Amino acid sequence: MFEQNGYIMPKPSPTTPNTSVFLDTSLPNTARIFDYLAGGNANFQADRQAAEAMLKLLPSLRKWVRLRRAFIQEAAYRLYEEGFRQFLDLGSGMPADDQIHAFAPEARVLYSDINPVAVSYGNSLFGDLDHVDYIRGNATEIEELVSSSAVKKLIYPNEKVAIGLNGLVLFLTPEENKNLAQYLYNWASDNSKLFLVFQTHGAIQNMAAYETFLEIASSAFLPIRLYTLEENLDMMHPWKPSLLEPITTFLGLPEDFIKKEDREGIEMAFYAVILEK
Amino acid sequence: MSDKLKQQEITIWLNSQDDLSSNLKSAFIDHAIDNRGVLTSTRKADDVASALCSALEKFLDDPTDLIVVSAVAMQFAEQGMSMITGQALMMVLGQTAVSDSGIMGLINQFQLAFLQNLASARELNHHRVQERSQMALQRALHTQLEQQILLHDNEKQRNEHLNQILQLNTRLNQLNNEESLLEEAVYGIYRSLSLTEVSIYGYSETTSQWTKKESTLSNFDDSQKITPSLL
Repeated sequence: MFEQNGYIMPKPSPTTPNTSVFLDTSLPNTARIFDYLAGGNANFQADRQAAEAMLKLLPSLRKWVRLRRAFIQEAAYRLYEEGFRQFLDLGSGMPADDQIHAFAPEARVLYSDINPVAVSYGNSLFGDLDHVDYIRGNATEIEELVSSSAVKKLIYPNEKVAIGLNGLVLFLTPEENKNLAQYLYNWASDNSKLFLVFQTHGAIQNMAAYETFLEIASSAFLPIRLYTLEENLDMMHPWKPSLLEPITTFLGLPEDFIKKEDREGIEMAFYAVILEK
Repeated sequence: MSDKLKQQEITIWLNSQDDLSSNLKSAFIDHAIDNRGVLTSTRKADDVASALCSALEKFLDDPTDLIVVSAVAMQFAEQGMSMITGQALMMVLGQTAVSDSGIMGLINQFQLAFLQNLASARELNHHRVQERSQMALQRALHTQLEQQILLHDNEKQRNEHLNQILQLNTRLNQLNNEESLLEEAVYGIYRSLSLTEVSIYGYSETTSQWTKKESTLSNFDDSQKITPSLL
């Protein structure tokens, strides 16, 4: 654990992508682990075992993952109703039939992820759809990603675009988040929107508890960083909030849906966020 | 109890279940994020409660007709309902106040049939997704294999080129006149590396120009000159 630019950071993760490891189904794969946690079927025993081990360390993880998935679907539905006809989704994870394109039926949707298993599965799943594609891309190399031929084919530069950044902010450094937000702001047309969940921590009164939480998350193969609501908004500058509310309100869930134990002792909270240019 | 009397009991019971629909909605909302597809949305609570109440009513009207139960269960499974949501909905039915054991028995039959059909339909769905998952993996493995073959072929070709250049070097060492040396050099490189064209230029410091000395081009013009900036 160390401090950088005022943020408490976990130790850097030694996870380096290795294609053969991704293809070996006897080894757990992050995309498939999250698929299992979200109630999907595209996973194997090693993924399920890893997910169960993670749940022992972070029992609220299943709820986080499902809340985030529900948010993406609801946000896609609302943005589509609002007139968005093109979506760029970064860090899409394991593809499924019920992702953005299912809630935005006539929109052009481009998914991307760094995980080759997710990309390969996406190509297999969406291969027959002209208006949906899944490409391999790294959000920290956003310039390269948006220059790809798939982006040029599906995302029209003069049309507003809805950009999903779900599951990314937690894994990036503050600097990487700021660079990503700024680049996308410059790249996207006016009236474009970002949609994402801010998973925040509250005022840290017990630093030891917070550090323990990050250590546990890291040992559960989740080298994440949590930020406060203000820090999240700061990192997404110059995008401006057009919607910011507790995720339970956004999804129409009971107020007490997130229990005390889900907050993992660090006042963890979830916000549904839509930012606009 | 006669059929007519029984039907009256059922009608009275159904009419007294004011809370049934709202309890079903609450149970659905509590588990909505456990579903997949459109049923992840709490906006679907009304539709689900209404479809279930309607199916229950039809089933109580004719308990021999199980099609109505399987149809609603399969529809929910197709739309993404999880077993945990299905169980929570059936628990709501189990918690309704029923004094008549006959009606309770019918409700139990409905619960059982609903959950069985939901599980079966989900099983089919599960197999379909697993198949796609296997296909995606096979495709990824195939791509990786093709890349390995391509890498191997490239490496082999590179080794062949290096070997040919070594042989060329040996031949060039044995030549002692400039014209033969240049000719062997351009054609040797041309063949070894499978290039479209190979030319050798000489640079003159007095004119500051490059002059083509030898080339594989058939219409080679030895007076052709180019400026250094073009190289």
